[in-house]
Amino acid sequence: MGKIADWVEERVHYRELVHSQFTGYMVPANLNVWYSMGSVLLMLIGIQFATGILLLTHYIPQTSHAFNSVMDLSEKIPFGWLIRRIHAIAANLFVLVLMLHMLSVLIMGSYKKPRELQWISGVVLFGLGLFACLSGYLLPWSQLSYWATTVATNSAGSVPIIGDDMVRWLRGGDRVDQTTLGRFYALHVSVLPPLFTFIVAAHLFLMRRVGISAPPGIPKEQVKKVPFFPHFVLEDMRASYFFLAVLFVGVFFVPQISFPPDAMEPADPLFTPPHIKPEWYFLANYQLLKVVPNEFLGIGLQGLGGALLLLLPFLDRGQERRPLKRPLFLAVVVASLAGFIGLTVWGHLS
Amino acid sequence: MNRRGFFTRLTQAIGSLTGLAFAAPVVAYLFPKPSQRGNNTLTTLDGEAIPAETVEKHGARVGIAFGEPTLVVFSRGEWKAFEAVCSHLGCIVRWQPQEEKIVCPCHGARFGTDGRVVSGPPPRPLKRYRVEIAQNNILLFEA
Repeated sequence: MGKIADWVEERVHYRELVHSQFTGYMVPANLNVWYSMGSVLLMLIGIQFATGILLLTHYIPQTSHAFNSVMDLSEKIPFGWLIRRIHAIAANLFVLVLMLHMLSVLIMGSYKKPRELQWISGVVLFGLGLFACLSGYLLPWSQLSYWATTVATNSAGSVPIIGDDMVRWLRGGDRVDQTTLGRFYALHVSVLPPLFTFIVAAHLFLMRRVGISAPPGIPKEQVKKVPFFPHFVLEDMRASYFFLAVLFVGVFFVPQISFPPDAMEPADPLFTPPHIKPEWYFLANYQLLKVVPNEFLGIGLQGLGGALLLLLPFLDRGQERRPLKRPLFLAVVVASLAGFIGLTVWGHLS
Repeated sequence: MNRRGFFTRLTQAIGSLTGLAFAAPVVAYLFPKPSQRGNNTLTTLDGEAIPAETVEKHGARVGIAFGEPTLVVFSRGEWKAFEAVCSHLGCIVRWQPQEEKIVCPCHGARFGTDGRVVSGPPPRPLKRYRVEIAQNNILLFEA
């Protein structure tokens, strides 16, 4: 093994690269657990890619076969149920960890100059992540997936003038049908994964190019440094294994969070089940559409929220990063978070 | 413009035109064609006509007419028909015989027997159709 490594080293000099990128790459010693969320997300993306490829080997993207192919996979293929549950619950966990990652960046002010592009790529990844969840949600062609997609795609119709065309373009027709399934399948398995990989690579490249941010408060020059490998990798592993444990608690003990009764019924385009609700991360949006009397206003508010999030580094240009020294910003973040949680709980209970 | 600048512009122009040449058919390929309007008989999703007697028995039924989900109601000896797609977010409405209202299961909107919004967020009333029964088939016409 050593001889092979030496042979490769003689030709490509990889040891220098490993040293500069891992063992010799020094990071601040005071990085807290919030800095490990990115690694947890990378692990979850890996899990999604691996389980997604395995699911593809049995899935049939036709409205007449999709539901049965997913059911057969869960019931007849060895460990098919496990692969499917991991894929579904890891998607939920991915959105949760991504929200925690963004929240920590917000509170620690790490989106500020010179890290604007990192923040923007992160917000784009958040949007792509939600779209990946939505497009994957339709694929089992269950009652839940069919109606969640109908409601989500219909929301675009509230945009003035071009709204109806947008809905038809998203669905490929007037209703959610085979064309929609084909589009979402193509997006979910062959467009979003490479796009995701590219933007994650850009996000990591920017992090290394600009430098990792340290928790605010102590000047960076005064902070002790430790090597990325093995010190910080061990910290990352601790967080990753914690979330892996959370994932498997969900997979083995509470799979119903991703598979309610409506997910076990094939899609019926002529019957909307009572009290149909989207996944938890869309519940706040869903409830907002119920509360706000005008649909365009409801969608507009959500669009405005997304735009503010995306452009945040250009709106908040102050140098101060300590959260307690930014009381107005902190109040807005806490109020937004409380609003999101409140609408989510309200949507769940109503 | 020097020779190098000219070649730079030329490369950019060729690249852009090639991209456009490929993009145009892709956009057209992905843009949905206008759907054909189906016939005016209420059918199942498979295209089988729904007999009027089954609606008389159950009071209401959702089927397909003009290619769209359509709700047909038989109440107090009278036939009524409406588009079944809620104008809010596209859920399929249902007939609530106890309160004689049409209800959307998604956000709880209610429509009257004339299709107008009684409560809830839908921006538009449900479109109404005139109903005729012929040889046990349910035929719908623009109201």
